[in-house]
Amino acid sequence: MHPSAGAGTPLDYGIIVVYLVGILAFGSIFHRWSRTTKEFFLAGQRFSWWLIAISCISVVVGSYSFIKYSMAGYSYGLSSTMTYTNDWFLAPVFVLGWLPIIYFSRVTSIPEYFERRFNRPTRVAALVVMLIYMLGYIGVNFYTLGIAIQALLGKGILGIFGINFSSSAASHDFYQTLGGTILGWSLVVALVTGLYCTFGGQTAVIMTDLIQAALVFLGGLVILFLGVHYVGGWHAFWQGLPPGHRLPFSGFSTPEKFPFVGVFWQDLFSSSLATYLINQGMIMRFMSAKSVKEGRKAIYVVILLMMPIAGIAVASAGWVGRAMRTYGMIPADVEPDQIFVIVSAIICKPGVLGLVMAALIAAMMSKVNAMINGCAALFVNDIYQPFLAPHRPDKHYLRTARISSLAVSIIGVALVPIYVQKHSIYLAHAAFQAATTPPLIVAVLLAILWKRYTPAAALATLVAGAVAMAVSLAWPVLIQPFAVIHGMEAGAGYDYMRAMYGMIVCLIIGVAVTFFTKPKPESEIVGLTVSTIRQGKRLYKGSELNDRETGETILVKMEADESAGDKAILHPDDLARMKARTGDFLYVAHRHWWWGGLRSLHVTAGEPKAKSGTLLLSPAQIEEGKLRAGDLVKVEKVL
Amino acid sequence: MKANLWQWLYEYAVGGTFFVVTLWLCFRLGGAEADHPEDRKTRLILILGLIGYFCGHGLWMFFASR
Repeated sequence: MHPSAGAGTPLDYGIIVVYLVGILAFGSIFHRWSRTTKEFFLAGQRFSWWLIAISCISVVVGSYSFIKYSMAGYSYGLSSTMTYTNDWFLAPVFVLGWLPIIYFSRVTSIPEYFERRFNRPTRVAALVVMLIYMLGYIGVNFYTLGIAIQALLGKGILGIFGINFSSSAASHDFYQTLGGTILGWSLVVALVTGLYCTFGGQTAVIMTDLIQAALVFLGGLVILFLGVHYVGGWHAFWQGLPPGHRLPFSGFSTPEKFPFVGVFWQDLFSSSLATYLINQGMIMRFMSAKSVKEGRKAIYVVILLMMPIAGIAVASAGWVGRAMRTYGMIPADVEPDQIFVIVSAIICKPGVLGLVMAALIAAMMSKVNAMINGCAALFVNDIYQPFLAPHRPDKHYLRTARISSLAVSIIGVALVPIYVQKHSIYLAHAAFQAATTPPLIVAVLLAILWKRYTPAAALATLVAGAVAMAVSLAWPVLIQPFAVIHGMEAGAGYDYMRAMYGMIVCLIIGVAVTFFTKPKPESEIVGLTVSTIRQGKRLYKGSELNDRETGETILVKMEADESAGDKAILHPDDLARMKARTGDFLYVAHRHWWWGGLRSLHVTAGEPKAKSGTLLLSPAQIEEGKLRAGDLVKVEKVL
Repeated sequence: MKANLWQWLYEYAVGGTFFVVTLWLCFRLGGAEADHPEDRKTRLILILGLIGYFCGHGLWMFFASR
């Protein structure tokens, strides 16, 4: 079957429509959880580790991941998982450095961090780079999703309802101008994603990710199990893979398009570091955690458990396809970039194909929703509030945030026909990303690990580093030494080694300029470097820390009491069980874990004078935590 | 096993160096403290995770080569 013929049945389309309507309705429920800008962008810093972990997986799996890694799995076997199994190397700098810095300093965006750590010009430079990258990236995701679904289902969303613009000559031109069915799918998905992001903000993003991540895993694993069954079971599947395809790594410096050393440098020191250090969507997810400890738990689960599963889910169609080829079930001359479509169409019965498509859409939506919210955060926090309309009420900024989310979605879709018509712009975005990622990463790494790193050096790293990267795009020969020392043949795999070149060049620029310029006084960078995290933690809490002893999490009955003010009033014995003191930060949450922190709040412990087993909170605090007086709640000490 | 040996060693030598240096720096610079229970636990989890991945990749290579 030719993939372009499409394999969708009415049942498949029905599943997709039900999914889209369902996710829109579910995401919109969280409108009332976003009544301030803090709630809209950071979901009130209340979520449990498991919600953050599930949500994070959406950052690393996009719609195109299924196509890209199935292609790699088909061509190179199980080594396609390389990019999903090497992030642990970055865990120390994230969990012990970057996470506590961004959490305790209460920054809302990376550019804001740059202004506080360095100065305003550095913030503007980072902001420009990030906005261009993120807006373009949203468009890329809409575009690639449209391509993937069009290939699999064979017609656009409008075609499902019998509408075909291409039936007349005039409308045909219009249709082609807009990118045909690609734009149709992009429009529908953008509409759904944009609407629930606009209504529910970060809470909607995280809660819908719960469903989207489950679908992504389910879709990928269904393909694996059905495919293995199709080829005759696990033994037949394993034997159907060539011996070299069963290994965890590809060849050291070959093949040209997937060499181990190139993937290692590009993925680990460019893509993965970018994900953990400068991806606004990722940062906002961790800022939504109820504490740094919960953020750490989330990252452990993400890297140790969910990333390997995601690596299997996105590449399984390629592995199955390779085994099918061995047994002559598909032709040997199949194009690798079509393998996801072909395998899905062959092994999925009507209905299951709809599920796989829903997984593809889910992957894309969950990746883009964070970007939409991230872009809106950048606009409101880094442009609108400081430059265009300072000192306005929070409600004003909340309204602007909602409008921004919608505007970002529209811009993303508007880019799709441009990408369709001018593929060079799509490639230019990829080049822009390649040129700007290493400078941003190096600037963040030096900023947090080296307090001597100066504002001038940071600006030089961003600007001169990007120029050096751009020069390497024009003259790839600059990368040659890095490729040659790893045994690569002339010209082969140069692009992969650009990350190594970029890291080293930016590091040299940053260090060299630092030695000739003046650093910011230490008193102005408290809490913004690794060496000042403890002070930053104290500033966050507003009093001395009490985090060396871990007490119990207690279960108490919550009562409303206006006299509690903004404090939590407990009995002295209850405070003692938590090893907490007056002035400590407490976390109060609904007793059922499955709320994941949705009904919770942070509050400071007041003078203990309540009855034993009772927590007194003001009605306003209870309302803020979406709790109800009379509820049994869990209370734990945070700091 | 031999076909992947260099890749395995390279990954854990280069990646492991980055891991160890950044872990050491976080403690050396005071961001984390060796006498803080939570930080000690974090360090232990990080090191066990690295060993887990190292062994996991090694076992995968071993069984895939049989």
